[in-house]
Amino acid sequence: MGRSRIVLRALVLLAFGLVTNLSAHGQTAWTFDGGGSVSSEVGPLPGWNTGRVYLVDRLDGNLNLRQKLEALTLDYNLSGFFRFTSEREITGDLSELSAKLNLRGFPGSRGLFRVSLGRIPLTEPSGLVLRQPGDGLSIGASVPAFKAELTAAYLGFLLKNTNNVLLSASDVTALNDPNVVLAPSRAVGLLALTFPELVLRTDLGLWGMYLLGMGGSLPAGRWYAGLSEQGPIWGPLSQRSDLVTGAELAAQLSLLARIVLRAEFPRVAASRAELELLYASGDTPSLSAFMPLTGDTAGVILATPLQNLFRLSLGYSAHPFTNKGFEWLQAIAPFISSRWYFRQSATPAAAVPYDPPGNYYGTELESGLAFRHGTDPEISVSGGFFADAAAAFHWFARASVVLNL
Amino acid sequence: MQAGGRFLGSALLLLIVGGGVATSQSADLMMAVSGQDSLRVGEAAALIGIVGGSLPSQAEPATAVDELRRIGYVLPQKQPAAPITVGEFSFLIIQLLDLPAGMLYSIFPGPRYAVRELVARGVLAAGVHPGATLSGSEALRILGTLSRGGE
Repeated sequence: MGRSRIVLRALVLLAFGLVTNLSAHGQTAWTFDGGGSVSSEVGPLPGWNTGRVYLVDRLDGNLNLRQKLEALTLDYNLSGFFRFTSEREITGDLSELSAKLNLRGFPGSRGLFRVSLGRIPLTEPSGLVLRQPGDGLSIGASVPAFKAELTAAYLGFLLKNTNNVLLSASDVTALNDPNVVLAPSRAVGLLALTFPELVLRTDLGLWGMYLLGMGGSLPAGRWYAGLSEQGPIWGPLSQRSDLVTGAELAAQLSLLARIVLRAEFPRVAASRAELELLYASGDTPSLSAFMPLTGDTAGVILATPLQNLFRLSLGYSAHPFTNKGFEWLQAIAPFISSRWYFRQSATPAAAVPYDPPGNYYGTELESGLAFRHGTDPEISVSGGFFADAAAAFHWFARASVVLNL
Repeated sequence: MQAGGRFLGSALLLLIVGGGVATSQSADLMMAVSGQDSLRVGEAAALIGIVGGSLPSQAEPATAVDELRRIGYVLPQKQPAAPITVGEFSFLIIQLLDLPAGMLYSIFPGPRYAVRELVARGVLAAGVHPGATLSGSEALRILGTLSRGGE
């Protein structure tokens, strides 16, 4: 059977969900897997000086049915979550409800062709701008020299609390309106190209994304484009850098840049050190404020989005008990990290009512222990402080437990 | 694929020769296994039994299953010539190589959590199904990775 016929046939089967037809083939193999996780997280309530403890419990579940037919694999995925907080926020949604096709040997003998249809995870290569599910179609192909993926998805079928894309005042108004159930009506298109080990074993990624507002009160559109590269430097050293620009149509550009240097020493207590420099533009005469969509915050106490910010981070972790016999002892990893924050323009940080006299926000120091071993619960306990520009200390402690069932 | 499998078989053989347990029979077994699309229960039992030291290096696939059951290990309720699944293979590895395992495996010892243990060690890829079959070359790759200390 020609490869193009296999692709066409697989696409038709995927689109119509004719699962049972495939079982007529002698070499079809069905397998099933399912699982979930229970997690609890306790820490400071996001916000400036709230002094309150915030508890988040989360249940995740997933089911996966896989069908193999020679070089073709079809996956049917269902996953979702419930999340409860001490502030009586209850959210839950489908994270994924999709059919995925993987065809090995197309294009070319070492190629891989992929199609995903349904509710699928959406992320761009940097992971700094968009990270949430959407309903749509993704088509990708990879050969040894490059990988390409084209995705189109609609965000308006998500429940409003699952949606991270909050770009306008009307988005925030809708989020707080009890009569509104679904996310604002938006569509996203994403094209990502990756060139593995292009030069000196360094991977290069290029991507572009367009976010289209489909409701009358929504901004018409917003685009992002990015460049990512990562690879080894020498011996234990490796690096990664990301450059992202984005703007509303006919508006001033915004910019986010990140450089990460890593050093890994597997034979020195399996230790690892990391230095990160992150810049996210604020409103200045030459640039507009960067607008990330992931919901990630800059720090624990300084819980502001990656916007109008320069952050220098240093981190170190190790497994000091690697030769102490008990394997569970080897899984204990102490860590320490420090983050220094500066703003780019005089505009106060979003979501944090803290307005320092200059551009220096303060320094955060955190230290703790992480434990991750086989099917044991994953545990992390840490504590630290944020010393603001006036040298006032804001202490915090946080802990998390995750049990993967 | 088969050439790659033979390479892995040879690599594993070298590792085991280094440990002084290889004989011409065990070398023959690894070479035979490396070219197979689906590893069989008897071959998996003989292979892991030899690597773990529970079986002598001249153990045969046809008798390895009964021999390991007699010692007290839990083996799949299948004929030695039946294909083994990733979960069953992982469960044999944890038992026969006496790998320390986590809480959920200790409470529910079996293929499901054996796979999770090997995924956590970086030996198996995340998302692998416990019910999937595995080729001989994949089995040798897994054993080779474990011989090098996992991860």
